[in-house]
Amino acid sequence: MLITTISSQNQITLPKAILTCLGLNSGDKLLVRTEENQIILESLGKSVVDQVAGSLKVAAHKRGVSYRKALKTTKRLAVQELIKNDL
Amino acid sequence: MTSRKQPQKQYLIDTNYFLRLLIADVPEQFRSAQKLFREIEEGRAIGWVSLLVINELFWVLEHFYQQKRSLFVPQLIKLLALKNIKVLEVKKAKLITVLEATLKKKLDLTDWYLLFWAREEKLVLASFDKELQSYFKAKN
Repeated sequence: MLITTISSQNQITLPKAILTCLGLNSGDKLLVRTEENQIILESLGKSVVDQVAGSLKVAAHKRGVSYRKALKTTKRLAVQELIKNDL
Repeated sequence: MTSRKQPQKQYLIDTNYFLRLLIADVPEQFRSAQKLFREIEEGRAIGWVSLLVINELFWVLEHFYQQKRSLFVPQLIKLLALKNIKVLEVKKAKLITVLEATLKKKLDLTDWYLLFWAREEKLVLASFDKELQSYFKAKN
């Protein structure tokens, strides 16, 4: 564990030992978020788009279904759920 | 000769662009979506997103594709966090806060959005939904 200081420009220097340990390099992107008073830095590699592209796996029979059909089915399922929950 | 910066192209992104990028099931559409989001990531374009699109995407991923929130919400947040992604109706940070909240409890995105604004603007939430009301009361 190492301590870093926030500069007047709101910048911090990440300790080299941590970057090396996690295999992070100059140009890598980090997602900055908070979680219960902690700042979390999540490595996103060189490209966020490449990281999320194709990241969700869907059932084979649903692959390639037209968006219109997917949306229509979603609306039907949503109504069924509302009825089931008596809302 | 001095080089002049090219004006950035501005796009309004539909739900299916997010969907095809995330699930990559239609190769041609996947490539188009990937190209557009790369342009945005590299600062060559600006992508505008509507709350309605995010809400629709949420419903389709959860109900039609049976995706778990714990899987798709973090991916969606990463895309929204791109510097050149702009949200039409609210500050992007607020939308991301609402999306993060959806990971905590299985209320709808709309419910979380209402809870967020009720709290933010100190409004009384008028709803017949007992679960939503109980959550609202617990948080106020």
